[in-house]
Amino acid sequence: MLDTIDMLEAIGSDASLRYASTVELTTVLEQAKASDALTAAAITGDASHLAQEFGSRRMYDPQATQSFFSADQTPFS
Amino acid sequence: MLLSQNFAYYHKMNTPLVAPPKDTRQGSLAVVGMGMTLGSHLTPLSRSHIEQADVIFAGLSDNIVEQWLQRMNADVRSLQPYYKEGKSRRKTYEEWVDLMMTEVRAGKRVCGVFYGHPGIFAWSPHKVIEVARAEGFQAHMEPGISAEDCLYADLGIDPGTVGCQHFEAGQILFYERRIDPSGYLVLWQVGLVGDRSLARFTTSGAYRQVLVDVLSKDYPLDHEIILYRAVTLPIQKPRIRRIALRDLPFVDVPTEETVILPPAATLKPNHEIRERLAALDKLEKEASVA
Repeated sequence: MLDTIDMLEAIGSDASLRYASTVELTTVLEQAKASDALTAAAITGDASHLAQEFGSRRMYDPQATQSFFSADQTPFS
Repeated sequence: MLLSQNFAYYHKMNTPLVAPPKDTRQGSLAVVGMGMTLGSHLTPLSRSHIEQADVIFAGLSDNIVEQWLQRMNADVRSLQPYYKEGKSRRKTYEEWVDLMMTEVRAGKRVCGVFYGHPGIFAWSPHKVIEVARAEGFQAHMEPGISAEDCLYADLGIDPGTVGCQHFEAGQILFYERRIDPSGYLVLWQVGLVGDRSLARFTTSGAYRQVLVDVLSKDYPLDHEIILYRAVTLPIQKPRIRRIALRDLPFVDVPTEETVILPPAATLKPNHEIRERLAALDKLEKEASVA
């Protein structure tokens, strides 16, 4: 049986699922017995529902600043 | 053995091909991109690097994508804990290089996995490859699908039509840059524009007002700009907002969002060069007749 990450991978890699309508995708997920969190996320397009299942953890955007390494090495130190 | 001989050898064997044995004493480094969207963008080659590595270092922006990565290799070490509010990102990036090199020097096959493309807006991946090669280790980068790639697809922009400049937004403030308003302008990391401490992860609307003031030299304040965020999970839709340039200080701009300024001027013909090219055409035509 597929879990949520398996299902997300399947949706992401299948042309029909990736661009299915919300109704179509919800039907597929219900048939596959997807978790409530994933179904809610798919219906709303809001990934925050998945925090119920995976917890919420602050993720920084890696490599957010480059300018200080470009023209001069230590402009602000 | 020549490459062509290698292929002949593999053809004889019938597929599947068997990779040559690795020198297990020598460390190596591959830095790969995870792409932006879970399940959609990871290339077969990058996945193979991940699966074959002894240790993975992960610089990803999504917790669920990181958990997906953990299914591909038993030893995934997140680089996220090295970030800290108030700590210089420069120090964090240098620590990442040290972490990866420590394992390469220990003879491990190391794979650095970064979201999007590992070499775009990414100091550590380029640096660690430079260090590894300088020490005699095999090291290379595999490209990934970046936020920039997604932007072109989701917004229907072709950078070839009128050209496209990309800047980290801070560079527009810290340095005197020449902006060409007849092409697209893409500004990255607007959410923390103007941060000189390297230790903050967001800046206020007052900093974006400084950016707007600088941009207003080349763009009217009512110019429509686009705020864009690519999809990281395949159940999401891209976030696309269109606002007037003057309103940028007053909307929330998370760090993962990118600001696009469409052209505000038409391309100006360069008559002098066109005449010069026409003269060249004429000369070449005359030479071919004679």
